[in-house]
Amino acid sequence: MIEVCQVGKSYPDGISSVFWALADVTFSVQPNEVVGLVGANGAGKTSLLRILSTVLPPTTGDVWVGGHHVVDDAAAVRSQVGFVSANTAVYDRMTGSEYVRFFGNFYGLPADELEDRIDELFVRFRMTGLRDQLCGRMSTGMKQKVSIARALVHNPDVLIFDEATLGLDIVAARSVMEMVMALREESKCIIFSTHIMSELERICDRLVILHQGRLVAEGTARQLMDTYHEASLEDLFFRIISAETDPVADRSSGRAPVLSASEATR
Amino acid sequence: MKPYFLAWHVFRRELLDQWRDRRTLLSVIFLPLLLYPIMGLAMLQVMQFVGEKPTRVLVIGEERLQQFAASEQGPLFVDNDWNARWLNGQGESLLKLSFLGQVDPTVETAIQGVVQESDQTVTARSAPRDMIQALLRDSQADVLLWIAPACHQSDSDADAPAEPSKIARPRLHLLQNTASDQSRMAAGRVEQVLQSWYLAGRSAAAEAHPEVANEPFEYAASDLAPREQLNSQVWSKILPFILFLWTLTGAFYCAVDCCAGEKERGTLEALLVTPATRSQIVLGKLWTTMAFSLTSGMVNLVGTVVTGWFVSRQLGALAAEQGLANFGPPPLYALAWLVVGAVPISALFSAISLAVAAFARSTKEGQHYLMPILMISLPLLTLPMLPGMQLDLGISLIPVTGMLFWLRSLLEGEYWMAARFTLPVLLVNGWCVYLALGWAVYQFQQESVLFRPVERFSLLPWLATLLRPSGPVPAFAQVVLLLGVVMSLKVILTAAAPLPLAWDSFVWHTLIVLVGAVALPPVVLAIASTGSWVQTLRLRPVPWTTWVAALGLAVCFHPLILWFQQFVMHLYPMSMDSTQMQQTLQHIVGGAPGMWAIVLLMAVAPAICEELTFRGFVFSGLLKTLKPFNAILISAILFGAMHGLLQQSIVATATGVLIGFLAWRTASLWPCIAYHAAHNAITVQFAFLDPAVIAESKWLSFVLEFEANEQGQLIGLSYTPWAATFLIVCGVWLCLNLKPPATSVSQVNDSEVRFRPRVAARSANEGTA
Repeated sequence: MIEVCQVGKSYPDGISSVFWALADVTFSVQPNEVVGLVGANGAGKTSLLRILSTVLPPTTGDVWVGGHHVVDDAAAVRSQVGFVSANTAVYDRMTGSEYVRFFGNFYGLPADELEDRIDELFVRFRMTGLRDQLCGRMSTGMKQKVSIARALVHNPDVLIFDEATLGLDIVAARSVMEMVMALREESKCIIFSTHIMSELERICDRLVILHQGRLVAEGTARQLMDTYHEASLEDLFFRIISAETDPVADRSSGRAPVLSASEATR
Repeated sequence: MKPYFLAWHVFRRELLDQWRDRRTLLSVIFLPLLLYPIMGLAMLQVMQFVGEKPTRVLVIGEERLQQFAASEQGPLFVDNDWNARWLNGQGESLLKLSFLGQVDPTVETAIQGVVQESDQTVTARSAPRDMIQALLRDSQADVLLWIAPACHQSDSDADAPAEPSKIARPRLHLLQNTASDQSRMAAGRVEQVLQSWYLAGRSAAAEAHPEVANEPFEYAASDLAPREQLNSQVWSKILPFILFLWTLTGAFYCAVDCCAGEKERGTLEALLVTPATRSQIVLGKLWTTMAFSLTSGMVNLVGTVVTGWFVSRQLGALAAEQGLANFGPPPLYALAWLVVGAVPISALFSAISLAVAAFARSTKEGQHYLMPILMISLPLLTLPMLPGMQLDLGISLIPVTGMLFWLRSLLEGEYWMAARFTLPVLLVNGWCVYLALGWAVYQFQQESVLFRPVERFSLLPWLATLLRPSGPVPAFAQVVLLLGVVMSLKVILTAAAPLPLAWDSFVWHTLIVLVGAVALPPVVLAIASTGSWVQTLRLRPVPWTTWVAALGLAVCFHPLILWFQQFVMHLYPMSMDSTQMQQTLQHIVGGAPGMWAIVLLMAVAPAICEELTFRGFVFSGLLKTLKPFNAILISAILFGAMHGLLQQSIVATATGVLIGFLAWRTASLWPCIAYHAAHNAITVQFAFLDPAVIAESKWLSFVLEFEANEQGQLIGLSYTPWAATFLIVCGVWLCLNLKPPATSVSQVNDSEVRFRPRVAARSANEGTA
């Protein structure tokens, strides 16, 4: 369903050098699978997920989503992807249903079908009270629920959650997790990015660990814990990133070392 | 703790925050520093439009002056022109005369009709006025001077035939259209001449004919403009300005909210993941911005019209007392025309605002960009309010200004004039909307623009980064730095260098400005701030065939550039000041020791210096980040902008495109210098060509056509159609056969770049095979 092949992503850094947020990342996600994307701040998770959702093009490598290339056939990819970011921003002057309807119209759904879908989503995720409420008056958790409904309105096969529980209180976070687990039952292909280990343990079939832009470990939670002889995912994560951290890199900022242009293209 | 310590503490933090906001600093501190020199240059260009223009006077009945005893005071007209004695130093060129030889009796009847009407309050059009207005339009004249049939001393009947026993006194009547600036200006000039003639007549008649000394001739003026047109004239300047200003303001604030606001709120990412393309997103935002822009413009317009109507009604009597009879309520049909004009201009302002707002990271940053946009737009908006300006082809090609003039013509009821220029006005506006929209879409496709992080700015490290060698060719920021340095040095050195009063001082002035401001900065910056100054300045050697091809191209494309130059001069005629400056320059250059010195100073030196900057440093820097076409175009526009006069700038831009193409295809500066020097040399040579030499030479007569004045001076030179066609075809062939370098043209390496005709190349390959 998702094929990530030797993907690299660089950003300009100053006048002549570039900063590599991702380098040589390769993995795949199959249908009916929930893959957890783990990494510290600045590990490259958001860059990778933006590439998967066609918002950013990769600098090197290729990505296919549902058999479509993210650069060459971006429109087809977008029609199959639902994206929920850590940013719970919604249009403040729209009601919950208006917001979801606005995004549903982008996918060319017939009006009746769209209304049925909106009803279904609001009932299913127990947010009928938000239908006619202005988004600007919602709490952060409510906004995130409406965002998830927005991402699901066209019933995509691939769902991308970029730190979707960041900044939510326990109740709201639990509610979002329940929504993701319900979607898992629908055989969706889900990538769930977070740095909260308990969430990963609960919902993910497999983990992909990124550190300083590189893929440092991949496998099921059990496999990884057995391999590294660690009892918990948190210890496992610390163990892996401690082993992989470049002593030259600036640990305090958590950024990958800045490569010069010539090094980058080498 | 001191009482103000905490306040000082807060102040320091706020200051630090603003200081580290690079774009705020740029728009608040650096932009004004750049903006005012640019505004100064723009004003110089605008001044060409507002310089005094000659006015045309249609004279009817000038033969009647011959019967008057004019010998004492001298004739008013001599040799079909004003008697130079009465011009009071205005220069003959400012007052052109045309005489209507065969006077149609109906014309004089119409004039008499207008004269009789003049004392009455005219509220609507009348047939005689329309007829005279049509006559002035057909003759392209601004005012009509009518020498009426003779009037005799103590003769009250104006139409009675002259009797020899009585002393005849000329009767002059001026018909003007006070709704037209040009006509008012013309009337003022004619009255100055007539006043001189009148005063001379009084002194002359004092002895010979004391009975007429008090009034040597009768004079009266009539207005052709009906009250409705006078009203339109006042409002036609105010209303479009208000409409456009508010259209711009309304568009800008909406665009900032739609783009920078959406980025700031974090809602943009969800929109970008939908199947909508970036162009569709921009188009949707454009329509929103246009809707707000139009609403803002129209609401303000309605407010102005209603207020104007109310005030004019209330102050009607007072205005009449104060001599402000022209001030009446705005005509209602004006609103309809303004709605028509508001749509295209709103599209333009909305597209520009969107592109600028898309660049901003936050609404705060976006709002800082309003002032520069206003500063650039205001000269274009105020140009139509200057006296004496009229819609013509040249004006219609200026964005915003052309549209304002077009609307003004419609409001003044000049429908024929508006219809003539509808196409160029709309085409220019449409093209500008297309470019601005393309820019906005481009901004929406740039991840660095969409997801720009907070930037920290420290002046010294930033300057150090700019000056630190970072790559073989300069970065974009270094190109901007160079342009700033060149522009500043040019202003300083032009003021500091000796005034060019004679050939010697002219040489020093030119060399100081060219070498100091144009050539040295790119060389110094290339050495100091780039990895390879040879690569930056594109000093890669080329084979002799490429040199020959470059020289050939300069010769072959000269007819094209000359034709374009003549077209530009036709569109935007040189102002009298500029013409005088050119004459002074020609006089100075006339003191040169020989043509070789002129060619060295005015052809070779500028070619070397300007090419080092524009096709060297600037072009290699632009080529690093832009596509070749864009790099050629932008470097050409910058090259054009460095020339002082608008006409020169336009022609230099066109020449810059050709030289830029050469720079790209050959990946070297040397062919560009050769082309530039050859082009300048031909232009200089043309300026000093003797028509007699062309006439005597069979070869030159075949290639060139000339026009000379009565003194035998060259006033027009062009290529013969056959020669021009042949040369241009040769130029195109040369371009097609100019072989590009084997590797990327942006990387100047040791790859072979040579001029090789395709046929020859094919033969060589076949021979090898």
